Amino acid sequence: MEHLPDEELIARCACGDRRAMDEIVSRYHGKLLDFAFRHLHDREAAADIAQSAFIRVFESADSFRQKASFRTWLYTIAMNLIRDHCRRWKVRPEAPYSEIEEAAPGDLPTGRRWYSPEEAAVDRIAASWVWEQVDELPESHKAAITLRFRHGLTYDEIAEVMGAPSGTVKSWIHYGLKSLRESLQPLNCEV
Amino acid sequence: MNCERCEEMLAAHAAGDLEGAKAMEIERHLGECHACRTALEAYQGMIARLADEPMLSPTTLESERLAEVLEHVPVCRPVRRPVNVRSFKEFLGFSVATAVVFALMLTVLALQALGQIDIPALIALMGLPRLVVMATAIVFVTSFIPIWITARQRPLNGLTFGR
Repeated sequence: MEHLPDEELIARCACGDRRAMDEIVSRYHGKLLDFAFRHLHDREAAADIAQSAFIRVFESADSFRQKASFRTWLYTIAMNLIRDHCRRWKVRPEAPYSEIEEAAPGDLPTGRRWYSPEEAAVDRIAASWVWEQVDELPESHKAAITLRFRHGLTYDEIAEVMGAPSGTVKSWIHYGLKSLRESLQPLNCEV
Repeated sequence: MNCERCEEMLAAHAAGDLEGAKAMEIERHLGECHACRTALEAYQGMIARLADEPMLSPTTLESERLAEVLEHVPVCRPVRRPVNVRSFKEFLGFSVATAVVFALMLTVLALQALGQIDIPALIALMGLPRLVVMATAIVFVTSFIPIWITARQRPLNGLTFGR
């Protein structure tokens, strides 16, 4: 199952293959959780969003037409759920990244180079500064930057998720990066 | 290129979005300008931070809860397809036409069996040329009737038969 592309897996899900479902969950649960958490800063809400996204995907697996890539479809569903959540609860994130800072060292993904505790601490502080500044960006800039640099989506894929032209997405990202750099400059932080 | 122009394009360059002449122009400037090179490194470092921050991993409880919920998701729902009226009409038309042709053939054979007609005598009476013409006519009619009825429902290679 591990070598199969997402589109093949979702086709199997539509035929009731539970193993294909498990494989999709193992590929995307962490990513969806992270994506939702970056927007909501609420672990429980992020877990609910990820769960609802998977339910929607598997319930409508037979309607996936392979016009777009599977991950575009999945992130579009997640993005819509996040928007709904924000609208319903009028969410304004507070105390961002406290959960990341408190995460146990065991939570670091495997395959990453070894860090001494000091290095890891400095790394985390620098990263959390960057992410705190990302939080200050307009919602569209923030989502585009997250999808591009954190989840590795192409501009066309982001355009589809966000429902905006590809050129607009590019300019969101460029303006977002400029704003980030400007806001990080006074901190004189080594980013 | 001056530093002001370079600064405008630096974010796009750091994101890997500049190509061709623009990319070459900015690269040339970066080779000469230390300040812009430092700015580019700042952008690249920032992008690396965005990518390198560890992804959240689901806790055991979250994974178990999700697995439990997904257990009840009907992944293979019965597909409700509407009855294709056009296909049904075609099927019905073809069946009726075939039944008519078979009925005609059976009638001829029954009349022969009952002694009402004598097919070999008729053939002998008609002679070979007429027989060939008649056989051709029968083949044509028996093939044509079903096709004609079917084609009334759906255009056949551009023929519309009475539409």
